[in-house]
Amino acid sequence: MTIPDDEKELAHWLGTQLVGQNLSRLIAELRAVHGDQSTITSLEAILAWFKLSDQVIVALKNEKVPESVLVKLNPLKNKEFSRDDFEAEIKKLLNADETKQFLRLILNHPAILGSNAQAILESGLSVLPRSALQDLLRNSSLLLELQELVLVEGGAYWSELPVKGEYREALNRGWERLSQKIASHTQVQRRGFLRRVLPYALTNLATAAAIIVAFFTFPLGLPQATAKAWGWQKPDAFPTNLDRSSYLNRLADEADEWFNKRPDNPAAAAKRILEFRQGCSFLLLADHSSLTPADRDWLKEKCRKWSETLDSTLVSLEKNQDTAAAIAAVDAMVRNLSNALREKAAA
Amino acid sequence: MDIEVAYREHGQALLAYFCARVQQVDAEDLLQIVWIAAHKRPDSLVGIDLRRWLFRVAHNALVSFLIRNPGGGVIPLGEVDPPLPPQPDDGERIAALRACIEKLSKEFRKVVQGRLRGESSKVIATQLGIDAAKVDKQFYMAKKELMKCPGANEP
Repeated sequence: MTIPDDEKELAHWLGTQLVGQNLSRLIAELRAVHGDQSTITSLEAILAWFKLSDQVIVALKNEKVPESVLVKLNPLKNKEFSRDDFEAEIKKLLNADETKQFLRLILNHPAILGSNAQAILESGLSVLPRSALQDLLRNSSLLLELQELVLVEGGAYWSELPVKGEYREALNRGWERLSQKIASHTQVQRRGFLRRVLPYALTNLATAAAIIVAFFTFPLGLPQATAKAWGWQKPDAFPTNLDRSSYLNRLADEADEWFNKRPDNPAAAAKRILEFRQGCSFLLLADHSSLTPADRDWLKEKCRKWSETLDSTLVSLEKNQDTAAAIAAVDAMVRNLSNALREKAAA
Repeated sequence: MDIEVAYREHGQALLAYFCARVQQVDAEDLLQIVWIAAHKRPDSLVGIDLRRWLFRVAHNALVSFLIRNPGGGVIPLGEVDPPLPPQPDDGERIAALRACIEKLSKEFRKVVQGRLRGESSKVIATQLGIDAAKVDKQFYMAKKELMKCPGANEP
């Protein structure tokens, strides 16, 4: 309902809707008002313009359109029209018989069509005639197609359109999450590197010492976890010298370390949840050599679900800032996962 | 490739793409998937059209998401994609808005429909046999009324 009262602002307004956060809301509103009565099924049809160029006139002559008809069409030569306007102009210039006989042939000629797509990408929707903007509003699902076009191919005009503050908040939130994930991914990669290299390096203690020193001191340029590791984040979280049952119980014990700290504010809770989530990544990527292949599949499937729960809890926490609810959700999840691991160990 | 620079440059467009197709909470998760994919293969992204590559990954992540969550999409993606039902929340929003529009007087309703078809006040005024200033006033009042409608102000 933010459509501008001033009709001249329509093209700019629609452009900002395309790159903004509320396009789905606009589409819902347009559907509520107009219903699902799409009359035009392709974006190309809306972006197209019609032009009676010299090339088209020659082609029509070759298709036996009489000279007398082509002369009548002369006023339209080399001008650009929307389909409706073009059709109306032809009807004005030709008599009923000529229209009936030649209109379809002219409209369907492949060389007659041009497209506003490139101009839109460079200069925005103001290049479209008003009728095309109206077609877009009436056929709102095509707005998604147009949005994809301008987001992927659009030039400076589109990237410079103003966006609202909440968008920037979502992007900053996204970057926070992403840098955490990148940090944990890098840590896992480094662990994997050590596991692969150490057996060879240990044949030469000096080399091993150099690698270990380099591993702990070389700056990688990415944020590293500085908090004391707990649960599945610990370096010895996934021992290789335990039998299946002890290993599963060990994983359950490590998960229960979640309860050792009770965060009392949203930031501390988010940090604690992120640490647990990081542990889940390590668990997903570890070898679990004590387990059978079936156990490993089961464990990883479960872990993916726990990760999803943690992610969604974190998103809710960031949105609602409800520490108690977030902690309660993770408590319940950890209790369930701990029980599942212990039951599996006993099976 | 500096992932943060790339994120700042293309993240907004990707978020807009996802937000138009799924709920915001899912859009933010899908955004993570795209950038994790980019982070995992930084070398192979040098010298290519990064935006096009990111949107290809985004499209595929969206299709996978919608297959896993058949009710999670807002609108079907088009002929090449599996047909998807409208998102329940948006269905409710559309129904609520329709109910609110029905409650408007006939003339107000026609003004709203005309304006949301992109018609000018002048054209609507001619159709309704009133003057253009009255159309503007009625649209303003109808808009005010509809903003009270449940879901009208939600993202």
